[in-house]
Amino acid sequence: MTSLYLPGIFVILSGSFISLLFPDKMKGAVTSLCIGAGAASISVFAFNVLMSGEPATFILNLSEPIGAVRITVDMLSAFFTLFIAIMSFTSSLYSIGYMKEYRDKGKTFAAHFFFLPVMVSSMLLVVAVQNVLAFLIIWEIMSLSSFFLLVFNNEKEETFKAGINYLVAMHVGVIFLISGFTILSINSGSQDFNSFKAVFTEHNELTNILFIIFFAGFGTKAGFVPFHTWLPRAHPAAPSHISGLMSGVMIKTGIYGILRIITLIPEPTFFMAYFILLISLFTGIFGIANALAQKNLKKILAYSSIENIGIIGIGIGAGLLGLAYNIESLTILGFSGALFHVVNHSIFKSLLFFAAGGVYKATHILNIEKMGGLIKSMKFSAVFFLFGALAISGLPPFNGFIGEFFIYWSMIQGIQGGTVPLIVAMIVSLAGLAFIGAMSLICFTNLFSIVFLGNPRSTFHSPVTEVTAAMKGAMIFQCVLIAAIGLAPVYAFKIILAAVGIFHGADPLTEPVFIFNTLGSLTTGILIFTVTSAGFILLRFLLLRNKNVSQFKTWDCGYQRGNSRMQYSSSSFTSPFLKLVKPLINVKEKIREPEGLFPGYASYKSSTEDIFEAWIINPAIKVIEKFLNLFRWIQNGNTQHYILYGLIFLILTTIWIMAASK
Amino acid sequence: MIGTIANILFIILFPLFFTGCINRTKSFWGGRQGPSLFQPYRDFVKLLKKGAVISRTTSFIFAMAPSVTAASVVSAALFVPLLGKTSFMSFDIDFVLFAYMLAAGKFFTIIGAMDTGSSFEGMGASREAAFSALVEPGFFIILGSLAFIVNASSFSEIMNLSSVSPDLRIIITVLSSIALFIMLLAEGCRVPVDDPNTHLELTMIHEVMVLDNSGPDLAFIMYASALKMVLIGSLIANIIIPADLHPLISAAAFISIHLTIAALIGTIESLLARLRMTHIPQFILYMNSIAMVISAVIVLYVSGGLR
Amino acid sequence: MIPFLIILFSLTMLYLGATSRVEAYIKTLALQGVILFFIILLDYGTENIPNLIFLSAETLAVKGVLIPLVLMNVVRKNDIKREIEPNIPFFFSLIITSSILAWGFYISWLMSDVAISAHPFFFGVSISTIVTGLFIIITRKKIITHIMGFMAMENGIFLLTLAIAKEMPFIVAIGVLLDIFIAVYLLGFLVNKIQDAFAGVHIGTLTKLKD
Repeated sequence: MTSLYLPGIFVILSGSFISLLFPDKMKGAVTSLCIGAGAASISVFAFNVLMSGEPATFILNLSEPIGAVRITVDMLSAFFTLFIAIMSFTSSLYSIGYMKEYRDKGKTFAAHFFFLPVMVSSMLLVVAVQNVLAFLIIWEIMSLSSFFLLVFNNEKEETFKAGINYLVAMHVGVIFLISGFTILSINSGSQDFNSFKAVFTEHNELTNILFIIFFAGFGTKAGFVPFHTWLPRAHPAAPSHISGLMSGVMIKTGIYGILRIITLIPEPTFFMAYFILLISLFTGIFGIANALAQKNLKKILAYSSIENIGIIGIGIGAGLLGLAYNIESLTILGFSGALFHVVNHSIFKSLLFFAAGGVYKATHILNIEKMGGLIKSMKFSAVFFLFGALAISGLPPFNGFIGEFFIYWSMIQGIQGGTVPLIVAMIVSLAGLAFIGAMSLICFTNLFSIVFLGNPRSTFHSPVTEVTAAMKGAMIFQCVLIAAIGLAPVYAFKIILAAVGIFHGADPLTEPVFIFNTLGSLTTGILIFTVTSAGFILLRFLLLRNKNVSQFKTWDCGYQRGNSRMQYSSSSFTSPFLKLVKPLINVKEKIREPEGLFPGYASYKSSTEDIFEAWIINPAIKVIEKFLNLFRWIQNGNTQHYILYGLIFLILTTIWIMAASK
Repeated sequence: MIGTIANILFIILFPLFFTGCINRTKSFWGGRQGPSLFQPYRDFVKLLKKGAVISRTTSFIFAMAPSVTAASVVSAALFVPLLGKTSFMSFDIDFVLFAYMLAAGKFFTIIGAMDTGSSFEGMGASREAAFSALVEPGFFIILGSLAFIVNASSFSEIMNLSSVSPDLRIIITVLSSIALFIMLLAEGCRVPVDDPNTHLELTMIHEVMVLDNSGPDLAFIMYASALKMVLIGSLIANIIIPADLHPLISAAAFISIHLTIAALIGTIESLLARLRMTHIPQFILYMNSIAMVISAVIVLYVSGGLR
Repeated sequence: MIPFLIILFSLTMLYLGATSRVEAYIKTLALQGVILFFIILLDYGTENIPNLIFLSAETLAVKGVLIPLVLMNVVRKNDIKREIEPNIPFFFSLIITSSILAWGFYISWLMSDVAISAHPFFFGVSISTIVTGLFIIITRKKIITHIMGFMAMENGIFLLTLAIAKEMPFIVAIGVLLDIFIAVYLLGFLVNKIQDAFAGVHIGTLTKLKD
């Protein structure tokens, strides 16, 4: 079985080069084929590792600065590998249909399909590599290839700026990673991750600081507040399958990094646990509050990703609290909830981005205030989007509910087992998670209703058409996964339980029978709900079968001149709630009020900006710019000056050598 | 066995009777004789027999929304302890499934309302979404604190407060009842949160979301909202009734508490005005503050603060 | 029973933080007076019956009946209905009042291991009442609501003395009484005059007094 892994990665990588040989028309299909083949073999391998419980190790001996690279697929890595492989395949499948229209516009795909398999294989490798330098190199390859994929539409200035923003943010994160890894490496004397365990045991006082450094580094990739500012810019700018890939899969590699560091720390401290819990609660609330205020379809989904990363962080925090306070049920349930949500989010977020891509292809706009009534001509996309919206709000019978259920469960276990600070923290997170869930319900009912339901709020350029078969295929597959995990969570939980075992360190993992029992009853309850819904729908159908069902216009209270602009818009829908969370959102309004008895022109314009960008990052950038402007004179464009600089450097070096040799 | 059958009959028959009691109380305060206590049953059957008028703007979402909402409330009834403090099913933290099934019903009600493309229904939908977001945290805090003090986490066990000291019990019972009653008023869309008699702009929340529904759809919705009120009332009743009573006495107490709640709702509707729309969030936040007080009292009790 | 009454007291403070009707403030203060009356009655014991009768009568009569009547008179005569524009919207004011109450409970928790002969709840709730009274003074604009906030602070201090001294010295009781009387009498007197001089009981106009 282990022979499936490295060849699988090789097959995926070869997809980059093979795609160069084919014409544009077939590039998508060929790349998908290679990625699919590789993903299939890698998934089988990963599934095997999880079920058998034995990690698989490969050692590559590379030349000196890197040394011997150990690639170990242990439980945690296998779990991440499994869903990265599957989700990357769906993304490439979707791209076959999505890229068709760009071909008609005459763009070239060579670079794009070259970098797609590179990014996929770098993501697969980054969760398995256990050597510092190799990890950082592959991490960098992942960031760079995703950058090139992101700026596919780089003739638009917005896209290019978003790409550069993303690149800079990633490198700021990498600085933190390099510093953290350097400290660990120096103290342990080797580059292998396993040697770091000893460092954490010996130098207890470093644990908290190192954890913060790594959290800053990996949190930039994951999208925790305050490192999140690249996310809402990058995801709308990328083509939809890349948005889905980045939001669904790539930011989870940041979560993987945090979890890997946790496995290296034998005794997590209370500080770490409360730190992650508090930041995640704030991230969740901030993310979804900002999502409510946006009007760009993909930006809403991007901010919602931030919220879901917050939920994952809450689960991780709960699990860490279990490790710190030594409450086993809290640990298992917390980490299971976090890992469940990692997988669930990757499925339904990529589904939502794909459906949004279909909407964009049909209407060529992303402003939801101009959309409406798309369900009439895009039934499939509407159903897919509905699946995604129900799942992301955490509602039964779909998979989002299962992850949140586990996290709630962990909190109740924490309340029952612990001391007063733990109880207070758990009650606060309970309320926080409930609040986040209710807010995401507002956000996604808003999004689904404004985009698909009602009447169109403006006229579209071209008639609205449904998405192509490849796109439908990818989305159907995701819907099936959503329903399967939601209705039969036991099987998914077995896989996750195998991965959670890694957090117990040396303790053998006793079979948590109580979890399986409750999961069984939970599944029964959810099935009853599904069956009852179907029953009521059938009842309604039977009742109306022989009756007079007529069609008429919507009741309008006698108003004769209504048009589609009289419908509720997104700003109206969210405004009662947004008034209550004003401190978190900066809404700028420009109003030209109606004047006189028979008002003429009147307008209202509102825009929101991210408060972290506006108050922290932009002023900081201005200060740095001012400082760096002082040195502008050095780069004056005169070649002779540059040669002079080189000469000065040589002279200084010679002087220094002469002084040193004395 | 008898208990299960009694509970099934309760779920099917009682909610509409509850509505009838509320209406009768309101007419008493208004000096009228009022409709018969069984009038909601007649209305329900009449609606089931009718056809429907569907708006051209709507799609299949509008058609399935009321059915899913009714199904969600009926499925949520599985977990609530009813007559004799027994529920159909119970497992660890089933109250999370309860709350989220009700939320799923709410999701479909909201998108069903937005499907009509009417600004009336949009207004009701947005307000309903915003106010229910404020109710959730308080509900979870109350149940989390109760789970802590009783050291169990399913509904039927949480409602069994007999292991708690009497001093603490009075506080918890009174405060939880007040908080859950506020939640009842908010979720059941009664005064002072919403006026079920009208759908004017001032009072548009729930009633206006179902403006375009007719026939069996409207019947399902009527039943679902009545059942939702009865379920939350059951939570209140279960906290008040002690656990070690004879089943018949406990069932009688259960039903009489429900009738008292119905009379109380009717009285409040007749005597109070609906709150200004901007004051409703404060009213609901008040429930969250009471929940916070409950949890603080319980935590203090455990750490020895309450002697 | 006593913890229950103390909790009820704290809930009235929450209501004060959220409401805008001035008459509601007065009725809440009356309710607080009644609650304090019951607390004295239940907590006192049978040692010093005349003292007990005096304290409970004074609390009920003055805090529960007399002062609310005087304030109600002032309010009705000046036709003051609502506190319309406070410095902070009422929603956030309720959040802050709840946080103050939570902080009060936290202080109760800190005090729970210090051996006092009274209930630690007393201390926490009274501290939060005093701070909430201050908060009301800071964020409201009408003078009459400032007086209400001051009354709430008085009630809080009274609750605090009930906690610390089971046997409340006569002098403290008289001092509290005097304090209240002066405040109410001067206010009633002043408010009538302010109404004539400035046409409106709004502190914005008082800033005209600065140099």
